[in-house]
Amino acid sequence: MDDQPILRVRSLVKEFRIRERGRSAVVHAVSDVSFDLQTGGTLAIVGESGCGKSTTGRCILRLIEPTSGEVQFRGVDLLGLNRSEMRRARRNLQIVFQDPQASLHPRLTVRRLLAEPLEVQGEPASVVTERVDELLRLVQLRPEHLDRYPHEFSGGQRQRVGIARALAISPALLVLDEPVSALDVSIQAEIMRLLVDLRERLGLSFVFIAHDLAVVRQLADRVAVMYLGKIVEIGDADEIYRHPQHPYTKALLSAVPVPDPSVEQHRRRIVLSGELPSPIDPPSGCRFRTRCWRAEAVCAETEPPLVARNGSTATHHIACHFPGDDPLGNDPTNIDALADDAIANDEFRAELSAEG
Amino acid sequence: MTAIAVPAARIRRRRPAWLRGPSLIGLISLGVWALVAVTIPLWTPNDPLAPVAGRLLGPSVKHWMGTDALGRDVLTRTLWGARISIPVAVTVIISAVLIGTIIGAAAGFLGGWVDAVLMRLVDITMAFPPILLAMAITASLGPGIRNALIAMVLVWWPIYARLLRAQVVAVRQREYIDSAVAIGASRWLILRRYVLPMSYTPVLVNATMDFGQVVLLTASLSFIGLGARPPSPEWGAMITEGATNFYQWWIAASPGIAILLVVLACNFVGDALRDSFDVKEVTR
Repeated sequence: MDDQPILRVRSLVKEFRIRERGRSAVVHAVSDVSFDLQTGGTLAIVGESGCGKSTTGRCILRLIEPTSGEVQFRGVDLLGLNRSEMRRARRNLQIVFQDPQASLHPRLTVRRLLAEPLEVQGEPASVVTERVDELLRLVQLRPEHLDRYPHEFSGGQRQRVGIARALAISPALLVLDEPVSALDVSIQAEIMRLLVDLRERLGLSFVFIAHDLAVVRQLADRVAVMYLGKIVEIGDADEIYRHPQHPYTKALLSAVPVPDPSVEQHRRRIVLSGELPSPIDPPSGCRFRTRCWRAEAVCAETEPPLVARNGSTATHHIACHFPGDDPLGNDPTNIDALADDAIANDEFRAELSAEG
Repeated sequence: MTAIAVPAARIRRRRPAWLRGPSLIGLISLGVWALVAVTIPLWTPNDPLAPVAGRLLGPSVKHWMGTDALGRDVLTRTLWGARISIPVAVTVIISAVLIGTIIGAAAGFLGGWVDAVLMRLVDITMAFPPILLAMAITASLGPGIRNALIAMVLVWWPIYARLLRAQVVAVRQREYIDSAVAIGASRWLILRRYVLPMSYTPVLVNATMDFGQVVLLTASLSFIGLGARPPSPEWGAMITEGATNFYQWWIAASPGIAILLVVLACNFVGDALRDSFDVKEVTR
């Protein structure tokens, strides 16, 4: 039983039909995404805006109806459930939205916002009152906050309300759709600590959607990097941070700021040129090739499958024709690999100061 | 510096826009009209239907707005007119809002072919000038204030249906709707607790303003002989009677001023309501 993942997503596809200049077109928002999430684990889905990470999150909860694929929660395919079965299944899966301002009903007080999920799921009134107080303590809000409206709170407090509402019916799995992206940096850390704490205390499993790798570092044990609707690299967090294989992952990592100015100044960065290609007409072959510094002819012809690479662990999969280090040395500096141990780090610094 | 820094407490204590200025005047004036409509039988200065003095007398101390062609007191009749116009307008607006809400919510929330069919029905109805359609319906049902009322409801509901549908379609995209779906709320609950309360504001504002328009349309239908019939002191019918006595201006002017006052009051209140709802949307 322990071996069974809490969430198993297989070949998830979401295509939106749109009309553009009178013609109908298909937006390939999510193309063939598969992953597992172990009970108690945290999978981070990372990628830039428009890569389909939020759509993936919403498809898991059927807030958006997937075009095809499978979403199994504890072995049950959610996509096969009818409307009322799905409403009952929602007890187990909840979502925290990016912007609590937009996702909390503006005319309900905190008390009603927290009580509503319990009432909807048929909890008796006596349980509801008690549970609302408990939730408030859980997210470290005070009792006098109960009769306020969402707009009377600061961003961080509002997100606490959003988290409390998602936790109300004691779900096992939480999809966190960029829960801290709209917050101040200082508040971000607070909310992240709260989330880590809640995960441990309540034994939750997280799907954490983020647009950069820095945010999820302290939280994730698995990382999936998405680009234009596809997973380009997925693996254990340590592997991804220390030995990124896909050029896109490396580029994302090089965008993570480092607190040491001397390192920051001398590291090699990759700033991707150009825009994300249109998901209406994705590039042939590898979807990343239009922005990749290592692209060759084969990248335009055949699409690289998502496979384990020689030498890497079986849980580390990459979709790239040329994974690993660039023989020409054009890769960005990997701070994490350097920071592996203090000695390497010191050597690096010595080397830098010698250069400088 | 002190001129800029207004204490928060003072802002909070300030009355909302619809309880200030012209809107307050409008509300008071509508309140007075309603009071007149309810209590006029108790203190009526004269019988509104029987001659009380000579024919076509000008305004005087005894008869403030003079008398009409049959010697009836014009001011008395005008005040009694509120007993017809106001209940008719209230009934028309409430019925039209109810029908419009049901149709508009169904179209906006269900979408698809339901939306297409209902909105084409709205389009067809709204393709005719309201007065023309109301005339045609009243004429086919037979003249009379009750049929005029039915006609006005039939003409008016599409306005609210379209308004509400547009609002529902917009609100349905909001993230808090997703949040309601995520907790497992039924579609009925989502419509009732989330979609409708966040959509009704423009309907409310328009209904307030339309109240005056309905009073006007009732009078128009009566004016052309399709609404209230002549002995009735309905304002439109009174204007018709006055129109034949061109030099006795007071006969038509008195109900005319009554219509003006009611329409103006409704517009004041409606404008202020719209403003106060708009401001809330911005500051939130």
